[in-house]
Amino acid sequence: MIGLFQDLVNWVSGPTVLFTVTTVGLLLAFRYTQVWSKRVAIWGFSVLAVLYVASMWNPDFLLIVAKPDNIPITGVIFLVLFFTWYAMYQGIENDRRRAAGEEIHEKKESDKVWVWPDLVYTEMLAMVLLSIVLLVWSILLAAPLEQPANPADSPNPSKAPWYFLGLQEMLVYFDPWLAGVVFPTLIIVGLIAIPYIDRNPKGNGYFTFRERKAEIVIFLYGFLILWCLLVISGTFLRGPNWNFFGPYEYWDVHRVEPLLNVNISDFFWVKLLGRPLPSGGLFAALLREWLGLLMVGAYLFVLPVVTSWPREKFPGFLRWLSLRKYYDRMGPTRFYIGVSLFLLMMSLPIKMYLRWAFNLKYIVAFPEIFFNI
Amino acid sequence: MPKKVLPGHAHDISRLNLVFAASSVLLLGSTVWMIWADYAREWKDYQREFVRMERDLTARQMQEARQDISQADLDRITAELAEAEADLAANRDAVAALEGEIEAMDRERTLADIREREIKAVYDSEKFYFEETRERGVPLGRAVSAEAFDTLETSFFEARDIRVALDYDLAAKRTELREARARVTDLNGQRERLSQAVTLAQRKLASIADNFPNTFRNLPLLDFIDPSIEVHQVLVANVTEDLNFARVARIDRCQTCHLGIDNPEYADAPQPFTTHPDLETYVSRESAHPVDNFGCTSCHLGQGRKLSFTGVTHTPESVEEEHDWVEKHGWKEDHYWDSPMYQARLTEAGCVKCHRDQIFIPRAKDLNQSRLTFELAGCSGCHNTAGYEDRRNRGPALGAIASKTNRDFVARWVRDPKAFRPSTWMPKFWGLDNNPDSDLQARNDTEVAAIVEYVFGHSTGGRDYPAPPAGNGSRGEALVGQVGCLGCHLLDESGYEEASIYRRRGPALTGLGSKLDPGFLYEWVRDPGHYWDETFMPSLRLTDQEAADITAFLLESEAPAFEAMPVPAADAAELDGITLEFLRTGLPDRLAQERLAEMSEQDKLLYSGSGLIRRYGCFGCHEIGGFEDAQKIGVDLSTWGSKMVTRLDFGYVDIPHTRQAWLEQKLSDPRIYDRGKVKSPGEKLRMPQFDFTDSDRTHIVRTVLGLVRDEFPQDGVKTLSAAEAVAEQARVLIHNYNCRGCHLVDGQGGGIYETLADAGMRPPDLNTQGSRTQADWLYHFLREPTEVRFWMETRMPTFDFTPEEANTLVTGFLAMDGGQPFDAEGERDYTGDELRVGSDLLDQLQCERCHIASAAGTMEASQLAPSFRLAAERLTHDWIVDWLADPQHITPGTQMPQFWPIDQQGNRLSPLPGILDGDPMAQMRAVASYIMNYDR
Repeated sequence: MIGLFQDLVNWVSGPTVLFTVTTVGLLLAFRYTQVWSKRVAIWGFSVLAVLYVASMWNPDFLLIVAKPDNIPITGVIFLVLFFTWYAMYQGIENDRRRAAGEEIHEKKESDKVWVWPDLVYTEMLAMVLLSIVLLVWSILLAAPLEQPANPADSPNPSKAPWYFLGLQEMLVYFDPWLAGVVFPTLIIVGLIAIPYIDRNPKGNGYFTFRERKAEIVIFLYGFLILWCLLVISGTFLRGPNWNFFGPYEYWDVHRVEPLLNVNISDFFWVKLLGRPLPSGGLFAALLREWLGLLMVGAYLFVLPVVTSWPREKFPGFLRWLSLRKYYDRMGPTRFYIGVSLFLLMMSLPIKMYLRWAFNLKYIVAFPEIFFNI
Repeated sequence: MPKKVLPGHAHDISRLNLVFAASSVLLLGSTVWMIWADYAREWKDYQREFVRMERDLTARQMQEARQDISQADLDRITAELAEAEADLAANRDAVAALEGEIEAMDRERTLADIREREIKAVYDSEKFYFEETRERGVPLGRAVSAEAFDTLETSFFEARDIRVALDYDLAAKRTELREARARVTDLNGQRERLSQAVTLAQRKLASIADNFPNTFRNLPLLDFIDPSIEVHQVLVANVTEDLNFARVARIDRCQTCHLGIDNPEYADAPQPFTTHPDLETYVSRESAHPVDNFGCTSCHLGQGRKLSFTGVTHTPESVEEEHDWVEKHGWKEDHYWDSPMYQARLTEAGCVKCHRDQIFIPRAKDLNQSRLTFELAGCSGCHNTAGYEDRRNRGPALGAIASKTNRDFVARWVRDPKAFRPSTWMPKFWGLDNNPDSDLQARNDTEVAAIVEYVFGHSTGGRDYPAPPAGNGSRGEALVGQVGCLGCHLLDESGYEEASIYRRRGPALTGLGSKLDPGFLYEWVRDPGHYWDETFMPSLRLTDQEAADITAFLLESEAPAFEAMPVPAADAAELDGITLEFLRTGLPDRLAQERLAEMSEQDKLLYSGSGLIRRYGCFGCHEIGGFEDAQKIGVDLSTWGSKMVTRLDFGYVDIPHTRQAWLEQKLSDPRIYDRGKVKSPGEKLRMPQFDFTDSDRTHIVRTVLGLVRDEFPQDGVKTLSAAEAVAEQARVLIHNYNCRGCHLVDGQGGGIYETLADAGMRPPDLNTQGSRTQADWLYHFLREPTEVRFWMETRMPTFDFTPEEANTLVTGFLAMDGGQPFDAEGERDYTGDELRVGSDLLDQLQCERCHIASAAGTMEASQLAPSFRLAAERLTHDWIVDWLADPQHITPGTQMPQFWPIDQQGNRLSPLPGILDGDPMAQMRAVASYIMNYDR
């Protein structure tokens, strides 16, 4: 029974399943908002906590979770889940009140309190309590020092600090210059740009979900799935040789996974046409990659324009592609920037699924100039 | 609880107060916990325990010191003191008057001194202004006239004179007083000196007493000021620690817990307080490796900076000890430290990193054996190993094997050498973990047959030996036991692991009747060089008859069980398979098949034999035609001792992941890491099975673990002095020719001693050989040995040393003990008187009862000594004196008496006080002079 359960969890933790399940689950939770209730939260947290603690009896699970380095990730799991639930719960509660014609929660509270004692006192209490946590933590867990660094013996797996593991996970799917330079820059730029793109004043000073559905869904998808989930799985599930291991599996260094990734150009020229890749010179390289270049070009430059068309221009089954109402509301500049950033964000899951489904390595590959997408 | 949130407040303040109170208590608690966690360290407990031991020891020492004080001396001094004090008391008035005078004068002198200094201050300042006024003419705000300055100068000199006069008088008075009290002072001093040891012990006891100040200074938070419980560390700048990106000074804190390590008093104390077992060589200030220069982890490895039992990477000696440690200290393997401590029994592995270039390290007894074992097992034949590059092939050349033995023997032997000779160093390649006979017998036999075919196909040298002359086996047996064969060979293999390693240099002399061509053996014992010019086997100057007798004896020993074993024969299908395997490495299958079809049986055998020899690396030990330039097949061992544990394949073998465990397992069962793996024949592990005894395995583990990568600054590495370098060259020859098979050199060796019960029949200890003999004599003796000890049966062999080699040995022996090649004293013309005195002494001491020139009936060999007739050309004068002074020091266990012993006070005594005024040195010199002129 326990073995069956462990096999199930190991299976679910595989990258494909885990990513799909969490994405679908999150989207369903936004559709059926009644799941953000107190009852579900208490049950959910209790079950998760009990499973988490019970799993400590599994030596492989314990080995990874109890590493002093990995303790923060346990904190991340529970804190992120809790605050996500809290914000959603408050927002949905306010939406319900508003629908029922009641005052929202924030209006009921006086918006003015004393600096002393209310603010300063609580801040000091937070300081004292955090000091206690840090002291006890530092006494109980020694600094996780390892052997002197050795250039001839890199640790396996070699892992970035936990907060960078999301980026490191992207390296599995993208060329280093994209995953290591372009995407991190875009994440920062995109986060800075949010207030300039999203000028919807609703939700200022109070929780709400209904009034900001699209914004919340997009942000939480990016933050929870594309960042936190990658950090967590990078810490707990990526083992030696960056292979995936379920939480109850032993990290065997000798495990070998087949690596048979191919580029789109190989699909087109070799598999479809049955001929060698064009070679020799710039033109041949462009010819070789024409399909990939076309796909990337279409995705990044055609799609934003197409989505700005009114619904009537699309055949019926593609009507959902039209984002005309946003275009009207935001104006062309904000719309195109916003859609471009969104598309770039979505390129990560798209590439991940392409990899899993087709062993796709690169859409565009110019190894001659170290430029791969 | 009803909410009592007042208007303008977000919280109930009185509840916040409660939360604040509780969290403050928690913060205080965790702060105290932090201080305690920082304070309570295991090493402090050790120091407290050691202080208790120190108290006991010091108290005991004080007691002993008290008892050592001679009561008679004390009584005498006390009595004299009482008398002297009485004298002093009688003069009390005079002394008191003197004291009064001194006191008054001292007061006066103090005043005079003050006055002088006051005037001098003004005088120095005025001098400056006066000089300025006179030389520059431009007063610096103040002009000083010559008259004013003169007046000041006069008063300064007057004041000084008064003070000097008082000083002078005072000194005289004080001397007077001292003299009056001299006797009392002196006696008091004597009494103090008598009890000095007690006083010192008392003082020490006071400093480590269990009292408030000593407790107070070690309290938590206060112990930063001046604690007595503290970390003891040494900083070693020369033998650095390699942290991969930087070489840093070693910091060893081992003595924080190993507190008695340099104090011989703690030899029997429990760990961690035990004394180092060899203070003469290590740790102590006078030793060759003082702890302040070398630290501890330079040799022992481990993490010297750490202070916890587990953190310093102690390595348990046994499984029992490991369990014990786990229980007591929570010990566990620290896989974060790349160089864990050596097991105590392997510690000499640590010598190699600095002494790598020395072929023999005189004080490293275990390591010398270990390195010899490594060499004898032929490890460097397959594994390139720094320091072993110029070693000769370990096994004999096979270019003429057909004339020495027969094909069936070789096939059986190659298949399973230990079946013929359990003590052989030749390992077994087939029927092991990854090619068991249960599955692969046909293939194994075929491989052996192919290799034998190849070897015999390339046996082109050699000749047909005529049958040897008839010999007498029982005479041969006696000869083998006497002439010295047993210095390098075993005759009886049982218990070979107990035998001296030097006697395992050559093969055991068993089963030769089943192995060798009689004509070959006869020629071989007469002249080994004829068959193999690189052999180290010397000539023992056997006569033809002796050689025939020995041959007859050696051939008597046969191995019927071995001869009953089937001769491995090629299986046609397996042979095709093996041949195809090698053909396929360079050819596509179709062509390989075609080529195979073209080959005859013989072709296939030779072709796969060649491939198999290359695969198994037979040429690593044997010279085989066609493999002159073949590369060694094994992993380079030059830095194996630093190899990353993560680079070792433990396969499916469940052992601790440490270098040592891996290596021990590898040596016990070299193919075991293939277990459970899917491998083609060419991918399988190839190291053969040596069936090492436990001690041989330990020796090899010690050697290999010592081969570390560490490089140190020049100051840290042992650099040979000019003399040591010369001695080193000789030691290389001593090593190669296995001199230690018969002689003790550097106190080690003497392998043949275990076959010679009578100590007098044993080849001599070569301690002080350089200063003992004259260079000229030794040179000729080495080239062509002559008789020194007529009663000995063991022969010094003729090694056919080249003049260079003989010179190297002579200068090397001289360098080992700093001797001089020529003996000025021996050359001197002696007066008749001198020689007569020597002759008298010789007679009275009856030297010539043992030092005789020919056999004298009832004397036992151990009582016989070389005749003095040889001395003039053989010995040196100075050495004879040294020998007479202390024979046991030069040759431990000798029967030679020490006629001039040293008593407890360190004075040399003479047995004959009547001669030369009983001066021992003069007497010994006279004896030496006489011996050097014995023939004249």
